[in-house]
Amino acid sequence: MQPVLERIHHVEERLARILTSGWRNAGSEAQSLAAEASDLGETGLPELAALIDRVAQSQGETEALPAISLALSACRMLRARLAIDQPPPGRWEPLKPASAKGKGRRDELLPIARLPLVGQTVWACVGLSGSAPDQLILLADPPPPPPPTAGGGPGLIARLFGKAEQPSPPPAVPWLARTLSGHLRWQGRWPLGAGGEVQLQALLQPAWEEPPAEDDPLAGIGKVLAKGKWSDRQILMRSAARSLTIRKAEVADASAYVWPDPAVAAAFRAALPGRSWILLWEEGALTTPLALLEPSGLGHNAKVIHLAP
Amino acid sequence: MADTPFDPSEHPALIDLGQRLRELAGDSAYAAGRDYLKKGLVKQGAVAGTTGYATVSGSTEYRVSIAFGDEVKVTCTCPAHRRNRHCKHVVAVCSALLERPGDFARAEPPPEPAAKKPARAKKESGGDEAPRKSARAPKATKADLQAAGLETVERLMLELAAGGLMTLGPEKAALLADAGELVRSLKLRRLGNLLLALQRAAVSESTGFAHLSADLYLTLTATRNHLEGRLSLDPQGAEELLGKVWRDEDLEPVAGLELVEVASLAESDGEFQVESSYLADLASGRVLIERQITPRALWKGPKPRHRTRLLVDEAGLYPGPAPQRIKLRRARRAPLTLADIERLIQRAPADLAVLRERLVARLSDPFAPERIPVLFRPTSLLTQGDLVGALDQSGRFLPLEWPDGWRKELSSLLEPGAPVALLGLLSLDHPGLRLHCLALVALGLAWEHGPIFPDGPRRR
Repeated sequence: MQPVLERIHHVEERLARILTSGWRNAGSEAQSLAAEASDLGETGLPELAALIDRVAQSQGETEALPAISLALSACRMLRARLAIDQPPPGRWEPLKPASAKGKGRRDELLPIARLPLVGQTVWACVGLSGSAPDQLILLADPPPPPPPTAGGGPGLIARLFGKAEQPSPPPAVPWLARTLSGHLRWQGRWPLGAGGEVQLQALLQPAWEEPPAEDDPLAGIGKVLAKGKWSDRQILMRSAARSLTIRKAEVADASAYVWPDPAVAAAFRAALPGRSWILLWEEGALTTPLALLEPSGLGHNAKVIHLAP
Repeated sequence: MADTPFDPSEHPALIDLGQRLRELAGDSAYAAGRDYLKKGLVKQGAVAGTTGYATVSGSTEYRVSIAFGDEVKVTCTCPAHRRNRHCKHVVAVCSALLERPGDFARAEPPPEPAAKKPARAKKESGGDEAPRKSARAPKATKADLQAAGLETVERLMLELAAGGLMTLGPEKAALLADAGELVRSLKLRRLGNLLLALQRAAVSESTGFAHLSADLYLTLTATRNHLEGRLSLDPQGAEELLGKVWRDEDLEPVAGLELVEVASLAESDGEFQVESSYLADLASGRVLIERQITPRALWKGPKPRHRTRLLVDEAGLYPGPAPQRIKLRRARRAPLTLADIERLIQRAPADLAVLRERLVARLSDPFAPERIPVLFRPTSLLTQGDLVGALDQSGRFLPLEWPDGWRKELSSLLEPGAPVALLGLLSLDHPGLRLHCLALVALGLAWEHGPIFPDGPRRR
């Protein structure tokens, strides 16, 4: 098949050259077509041969243009039908897949709270770029909490949020206090409002990072929350158009909220009565409640109220 | 006709226009207009009162009027006049009025420009039709104009076929563009678009020039045969051939589709920005095209991509061969998950023969685009040096054209054995088919950006 295809292609190129250089300048190119038509006829392509021969016999451009147009179209159709499906000669190798999976930069995220998502519980986390918030992430299959630290508990915030009284505290998730690192792998994309979106991710090779140093901006979040006295629009962390913000429930505009899942909205509405503070993710014009906050009071510390059990 | 010869020196507004003509027209139009005058292409000149009329005849005839009374006003029937009021035809006629006043007959009553309605001329002439008849021909029908347009295109094509690209100077290239605009304005859009594409290919001396010429000639012939009733086409095919602008009521209503945007492509022909979104239907695997065509002057940046699944409640399918164009009227955004991506990949044809049949069907229509968007599920991707190819389920090989940088990036992203689908534009190359890849969809991409490579801009 290859020689026939080559011959057709050769004729096609000759026809294209004639059109490009003009019939007046075709000269020997046009004369050679008669012989090529004869060859194609002998190869078993009489119809194509007749079309090529018509070009060769043309007297002037008025006959040549329609003849060339038809012949070119026929060559192309025939080549499409007979096209070769073999790779060009040489040593072809499979595209080498990722050989160094898991290496390279590790993604870092700050767990915020539990959320319901189509029947499962995911963690709402803030993806970090340095210490700045980069995006809201929903984490599927979250890792187990870190073991209690040598200091006697899961960390400042966990202690403040109701775990310190237990004599031998079980491992608890250090919400908003310690970061997780690993390699994010995309699992899904959920719409947020009319134009926004949030990614559901898995975290490969997860590891809890050490609690932030005193001078780390992330440590400041813990201090603010532990204090239990907040103001409306208090920003916990912020980058260009994104922020993690505390809002007073009674002044916040609940109609502007967007939800990744109706179950989050339902849980929020169920948990809201009697609560005053909301922890929000704001990105551009989109506002997504992630949890409720309960300030410290007589006999209890400040608490994160999750929207999923 | 009045006996007094026309004297331009009695008309300061005309003299002033002549002095500012180069500045108003720009160097290129000015030079072309002066050239037309030199070649004697300004014909049928007449002056009525303070308005001069003439026809500038090249391969197409354009009627020009220049009013130089209290207010200077110029008109021309050429398409370029809409962009530049002082087009080359206006330059030619204005120069002729100033330099060859003897070529202009004095006419009473004034002849009407071609674009005006006959009813008005009748009213102004008080019912006396004799002098008006001498100034203008009866209004041509749409069919007459289309036939004349086709004749113009054929004449240009034959001139090109005789002399080839060597004879194509700037003037003839401009004629090609003018002819393209002309037939487009006569509702022969497909032919007009092909002419404009040919003009661009000719100017850039592209290798596609010859094939475009052949396609254009076949389209021209088919169009003429159709208009003259010598070619039997189904109504939809006929409207495709002419390049009908579809109205909402022409579209086939469709609902219940579940679409994922796999790729997008932005192209410009200099005048319009054409943005195409390639949407795969998860239920059938067919590819649909959502297209936005915006005049370049009004284009305000790329259209937002659909990054989630779309549940289509109401849409319209444009007539035409597959892959069809879709107009989304009402669609809901829904989560896009790995399970959806798995369905998408499974629906993609894994047999190269299926794709070949689609291309052959497309090529049998000489006036349809030569490249078709297809979704293809290869069993493996192969490389040799800078070359890339894919094998289908039967071991058939398809050469791939990848954008720069894909190979390096994908080498670090593709996980071993991950099912993959490619969305690209399939065309005929030598020695066989070729897929110009626009996107790769994979179940296992080692990144956080989603299942489609490259990752489009995120919606904020």
